[in-house]
Amino acid sequence: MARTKFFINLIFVTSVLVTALALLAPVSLAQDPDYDAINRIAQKMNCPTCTGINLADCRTQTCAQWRDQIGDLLAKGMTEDEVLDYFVNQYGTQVLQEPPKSGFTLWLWVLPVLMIILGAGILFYTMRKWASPAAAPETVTVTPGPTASDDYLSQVEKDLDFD
Amino acid sequence: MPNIGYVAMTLALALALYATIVAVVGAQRRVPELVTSARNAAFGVTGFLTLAVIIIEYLLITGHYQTKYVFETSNRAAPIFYRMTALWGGQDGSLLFWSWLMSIFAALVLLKKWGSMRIMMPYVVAVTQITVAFFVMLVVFVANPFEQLDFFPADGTGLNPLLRHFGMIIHPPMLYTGFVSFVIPYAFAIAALVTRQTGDLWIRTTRRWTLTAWLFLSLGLLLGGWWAYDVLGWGGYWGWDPVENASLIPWLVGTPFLHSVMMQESRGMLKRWNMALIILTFALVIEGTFLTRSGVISSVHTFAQSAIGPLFLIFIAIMFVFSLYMFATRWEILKSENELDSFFSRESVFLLNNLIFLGLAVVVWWGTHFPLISEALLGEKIVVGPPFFEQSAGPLFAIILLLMGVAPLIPWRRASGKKLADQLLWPLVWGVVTAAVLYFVVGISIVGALIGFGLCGFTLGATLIEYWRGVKARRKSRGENYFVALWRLVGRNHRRYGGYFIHIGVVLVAIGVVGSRFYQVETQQNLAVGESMTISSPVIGDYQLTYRGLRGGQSPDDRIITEAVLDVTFNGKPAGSLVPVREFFVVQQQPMTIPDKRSTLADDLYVILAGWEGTGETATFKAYINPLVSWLWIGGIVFILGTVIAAWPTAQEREERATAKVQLPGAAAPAGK
Repeated sequence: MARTKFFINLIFVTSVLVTALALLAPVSLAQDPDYDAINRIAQKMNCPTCTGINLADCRTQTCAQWRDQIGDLLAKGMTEDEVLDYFVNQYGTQVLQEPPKSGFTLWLWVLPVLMIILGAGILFYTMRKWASPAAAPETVTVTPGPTASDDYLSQVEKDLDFD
Repeated sequence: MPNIGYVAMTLALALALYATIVAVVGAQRRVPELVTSARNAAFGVTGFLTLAVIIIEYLLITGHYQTKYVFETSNRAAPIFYRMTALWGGQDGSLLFWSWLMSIFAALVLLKKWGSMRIMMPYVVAVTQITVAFFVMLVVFVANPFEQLDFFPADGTGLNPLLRHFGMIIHPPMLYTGFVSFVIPYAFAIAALVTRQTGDLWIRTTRRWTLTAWLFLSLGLLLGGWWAYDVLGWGGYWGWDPVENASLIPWLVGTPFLHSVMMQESRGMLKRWNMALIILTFALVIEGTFLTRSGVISSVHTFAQSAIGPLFLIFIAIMFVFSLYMFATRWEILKSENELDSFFSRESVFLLNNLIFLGLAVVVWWGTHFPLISEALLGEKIVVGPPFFEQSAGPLFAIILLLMGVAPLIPWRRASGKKLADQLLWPLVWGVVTAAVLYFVVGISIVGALIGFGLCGFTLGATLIEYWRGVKARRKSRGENYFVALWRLVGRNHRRYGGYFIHIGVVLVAIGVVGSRFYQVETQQNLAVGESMTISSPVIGDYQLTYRGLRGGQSPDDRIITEAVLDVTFNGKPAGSLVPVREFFVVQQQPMTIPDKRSTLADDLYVILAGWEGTGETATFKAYINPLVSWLWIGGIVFILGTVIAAWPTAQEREERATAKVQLPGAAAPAGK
């Protein structure tokens, strides 16, 4: 019993001390930053100096500083989204790996989809135009019936093929 | 010496221009002597460019540092191997290399096809030589590799350290070869348009050249991925970097071309479409070269901004407008000989495949160029990272995987519903069982991964069934055993069964991509000597890494090497040790992070040394578990083998080529329209 009480007291005193220390010098407390949490956010951001690489994978000095900054913001209790918002507010949406699906960058996302839909439309229209005259004479096709033996099938396929 | 090199390039330029003009004049006025002269001039171009390449190699090997290019890409400490490959280590040299390769391909095709293709040949000479001339013009006037410095440096600054890797040594030549050899089908296509030879002669003639071009392009892409994985140290193999994309885009248009030409050969359809595709492919090859050479888009491996950009744009514009003009004026004679018989036919699946591939090309092209477009319109360069490409291209790749399984099972012209259902039944079972086993037994629960693996199972099943059906038919009719039957089956039709082999390779690559994309885990930790870190994956298991300390030294070629030693256990059992390395290139003042990995068929444990304090009392490591990555490389090898099989002439083809003329298919075309 006395042992438990001692521990509770110890924990209480320690936490008070830690809080006080944390208030006084928040940075010096951080012994080992949670790299994985930092990297999770850094992966969603661009390296500010070199293009084509994300912040988490970049080994330059600038990127290391940015990552430290993410660590500091996390230590202040910010969530992932808040950290990202912080950087977007400071530097604009260009810091994000994934351009937002709104505003001008919506075109980035939408245009290929529109092109594919347009292509599908043209393809469908063309195919229907091609297919319509052949639709009537059903008997003309050379497709073997389902009763054909395997040998016959492969022979026919060979004829249809081009060696 | 450098002057001789420069003169050789200048002469090559003059001869290439001469060949272009004389070939066209000779063909128009019907003067065979002029055409022959043009051909010989084209051989001369190859000769002079070869001389120029030999001279620049001599300067690189002997260390003639007064030559600016040698000074910038080589140094005394570099091993002779890297001095030689410095030819493609910088802008000027790689452009010369490019021109040289293209002139070799042009010369080869002139040697091999001269006798059989008399009518088209002058235009083939003209198209290839004007393209060569453009690139030689760049090295003569803008990016001269023989430029001399006005001082005498004792040593060079050395090759970019990132390029000192075996993959990097062979990756550019492969990619360039793939790029330049697409000029051959393009030249024949244009020649066919000009001479109004609208049959499939140009396609048959260049089929093997196109496959070869495609083979090298694929090899270049695979080797690029391998290099990135091995050297760049970010745990991945494909970063959607603009330069990677620039080589992927022509591949995405060339691949449907390889498929849709089958429809022209067997059914006389899609003549216009195939023309359009090959023109587009080559235009994208040139545009891709422009992107990577001009520095308009910055990337890991573009060379510095240079003046060649505008020239490139002019060339692309001229080429494109000329091709379009030819295309438009021949529109009517490129009419399809056949109609589409049914929506349920291989033709339809091929058309759908074309649509999706082009959709992919649009996605990648648009994402790659969006920074330029946003800069032009808004004045700010918006960076488009991997998330866009993954989200947009991922579903399209999944559809390709599906179509790859369906197409071989569905017959040309028309499929009956019942037969199709019979054919699709077993592959579907394979796919569903694959997904179910992975879900219930292995514990794969991410929907995307289940769909991906299920599609892999479906397509693999469908492809293997195709082999099985052929083998069974041969066994029944010829009484051969399984191995002989398989051997002869493939031997009789390289194109078809080599093609299916490629499909199997693609499925294996897809397995690697899906596994590593959805189930990669990573962690980063700071360790003191003797301390351990754990990285665990729910589907693979747990690795424990124990830091044993740093060791280091200086290599003879001016690198400071720092190695960290880590002991590894896998699920509690010892699994060797890993030595990730940090190298510092003194001359270039550039660090390099080289990962070490433990590869198995199930997964790769991939570790980099991110940093250290003092003399290595503590060090920071980043570790990844990349599931199934080995299948990517295995699939790549299968893929390449399949392409070689498909391109290899069969015994019958060799005979035919010796004697008969090529027959025109689709003789009994229905009189529709």
